[in-house]
Amino acid sequence: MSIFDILFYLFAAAIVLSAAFVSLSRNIVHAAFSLLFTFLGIAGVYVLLSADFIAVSQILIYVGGILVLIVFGVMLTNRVTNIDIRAAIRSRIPAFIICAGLLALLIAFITQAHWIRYDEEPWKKTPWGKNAVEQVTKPLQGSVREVIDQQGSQGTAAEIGKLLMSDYMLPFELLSIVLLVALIGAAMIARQEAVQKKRPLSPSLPTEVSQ
Amino acid sequence: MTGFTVSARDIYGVMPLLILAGTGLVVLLWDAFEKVPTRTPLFLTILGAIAAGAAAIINLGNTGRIFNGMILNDAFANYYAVLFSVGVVIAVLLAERYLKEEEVLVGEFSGLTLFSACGMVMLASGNDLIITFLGLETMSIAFYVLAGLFRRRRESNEAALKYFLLGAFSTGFFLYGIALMYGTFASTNLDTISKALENPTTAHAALTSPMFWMAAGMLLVGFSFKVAAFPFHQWAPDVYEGAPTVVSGFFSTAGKAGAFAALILIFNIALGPIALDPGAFTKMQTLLAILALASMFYGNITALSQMNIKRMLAYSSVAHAGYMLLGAAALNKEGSTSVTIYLSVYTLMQMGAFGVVALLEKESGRGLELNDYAGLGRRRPWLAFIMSIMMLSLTGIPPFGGFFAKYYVFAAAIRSGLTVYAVLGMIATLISVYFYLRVMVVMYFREPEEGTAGIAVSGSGTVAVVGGDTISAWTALALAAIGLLATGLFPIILTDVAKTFYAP
Amino acid sequence: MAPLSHYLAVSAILFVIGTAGVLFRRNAIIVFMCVELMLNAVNLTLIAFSQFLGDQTGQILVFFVMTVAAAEAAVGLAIVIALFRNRQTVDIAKVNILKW
Repeated sequence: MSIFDILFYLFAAAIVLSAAFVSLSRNIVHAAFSLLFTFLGIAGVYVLLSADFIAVSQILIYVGGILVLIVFGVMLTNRVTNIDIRAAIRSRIPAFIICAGLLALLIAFITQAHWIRYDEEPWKKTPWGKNAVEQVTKPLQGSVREVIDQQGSQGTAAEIGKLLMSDYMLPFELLSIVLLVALIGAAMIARQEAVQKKRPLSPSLPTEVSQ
Repeated sequence: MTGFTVSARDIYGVMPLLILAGTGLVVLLWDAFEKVPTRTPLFLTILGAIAAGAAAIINLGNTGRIFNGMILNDAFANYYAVLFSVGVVIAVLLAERYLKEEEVLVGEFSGLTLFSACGMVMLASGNDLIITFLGLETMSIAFYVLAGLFRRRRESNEAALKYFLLGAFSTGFFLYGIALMYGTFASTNLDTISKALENPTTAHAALTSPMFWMAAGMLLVGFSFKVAAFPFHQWAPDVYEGAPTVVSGFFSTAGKAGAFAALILIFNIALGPIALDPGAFTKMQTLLAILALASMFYGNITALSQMNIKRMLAYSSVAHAGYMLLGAAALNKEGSTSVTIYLSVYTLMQMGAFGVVALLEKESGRGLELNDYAGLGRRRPWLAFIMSIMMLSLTGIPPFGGFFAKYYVFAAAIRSGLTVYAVLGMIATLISVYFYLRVMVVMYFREPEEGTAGIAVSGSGTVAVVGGDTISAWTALALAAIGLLATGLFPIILTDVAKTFYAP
Repeated sequence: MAPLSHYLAVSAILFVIGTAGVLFRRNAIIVFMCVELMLNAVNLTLIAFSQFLGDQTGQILVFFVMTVAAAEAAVGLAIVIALFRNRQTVDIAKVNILKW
């Protein structure tokens, strides 16, 4: 077991534990902080999978962007009223069955060799299977220094950049439409009412409509 | 593969998309700089949608794979682009008066509608799962905002939140499906996937692996959410009820059409070669057909007990998703054509029904109960007449387009060996007769009760005249009704579409 | 290097944790965090495949997923704030039309 394997299992444990904490925690702020560790752990795994650009993006976008947004959401909705937004866990049997079923299904597939081993029948006969076998058999053991020497690469950023500007140019441009829609939509929905109000907004609206 | 550069042909190929996005921007900017609200954004939107439709028709002479195989610009994609444009035009026409009542700017609504149409065009022309994903997200994000457009209405906020959370949840499943497809085929390109399934070696590897089935299942879960098919339909009634009525109409027609277009592209076209393996073929067919049947029965049976008209239409849309899934379950080109025909007709009838509901709706969402429709036949005969056409067509009664749409779907299912499912589907259709016709019975044969807020009696009263403000809405309703009559009386229109579809 | 199956297993477990969170929790923001867990699980799967297949498509796809997730987060929190302004709650059990 190389140092990379040990690191991977450490990260994996961190990811799973902190994720479980996110979905179980009774305190929303603790959940948000726990999410930070999940994101960082995943970034660590990306590094181990030599996806350096994605690892950095993970930290920038998820930690720097989305998590900050979530914390803002927590603060904005918490401060204003000081209502108790600690969440209780619903006891819901159907939800439990769905989760258990999904987990069983996924675990069953993971433990079946054909699902994942590109170096076994029937995968190794496929073109990508052959490619994958070469990829896996490429030795990637030893110290960090040795691996860096072996790889000798400039990282993946350059290649991803080239792909985004050539083969994946259209999706890259379409992404701008997605961002534009989100930007306009968020501004539209969260802004204070500019139009004159026809009737006053009363917080004491009847809360129980027909169930 | 690398070293791709854009040519003029590529740009022409995505012209409908560019026009829709451009118009969306112009409309939003116009709205922002306008001091007094006018109708200009409305006209701009309609103009843009018509231009996009025209561009799509012109595009038919320029078909092929563009942008390095990212986009498949063919009759299918361009037909859907026209369909979405029609949807946008009808929605915007219906929305004008409705939005004015709630003091929402037309530009906001039409801008987002245009952007969501952009996403739908991506869905219908995406030849790569990346494009499909981006299209689905563009459409969904615009929809989340549209659902919450009435910022001051609590129901609207709640509908937006619920739609958003469940939509994001379903995106997770859809993406997991894409990831597993990528793991199975080492590519996200639908052509590559199709070729791999034609090759016996790779097809064997893929079809014997649980990973492929998991991927197909996850994609199906994602799509079921978006089209509101049975086990994943729970959001639909609540969101349709809470969202602005016109927006609900747009969700349940154009939105469904977009998701179905992508579903057909993936399951009927890209995974089409699965037919070479009879075992896997039957498995996939059964998967889709069971989902279809469950949606039909659940939707129709639950709709029976709905007294709120928007909820009833929502459950009926679940059932209609079921009919279309049955067409898709044929897993061949005939099936995909039948779904396309169904979607065209369905867009007109569902949009028309929601349009009538929107015209009758009163301030802050009152006037939506079935009882409010009592006596409508006498007070507002034209509106009742239009609603009757929509209801008869939704039921699938012969002189209207709905009949032929159902006929083609069931025919495609029977011809691909799904006879039992088709017969059960017809039984489900019979159930639906009750609640569609009930609306007509209430409109024509029941008098409004004293003291209830019947729309026909109270408030602005018996306005049977077409007021200046509702001319646009009436245009939309007339468009839908005439379309249904035309397709019902001359189904050759539909079959012609089908024929040109897969012309070489 | 740990076998591909281990990476996939971690991401599958993460996905299930996310799903469970969405189904069991009722605070809108926590539900949203759980959705983010699901998306991260997908990203992990994609990167693992990408590395083991020696193909860059997976990484590009992850890049897109991240960007879209950020866009979604912005819209989602805008909706939460709009709702909060009208309702003063983010507990989705108290959002009465929500009865999934």
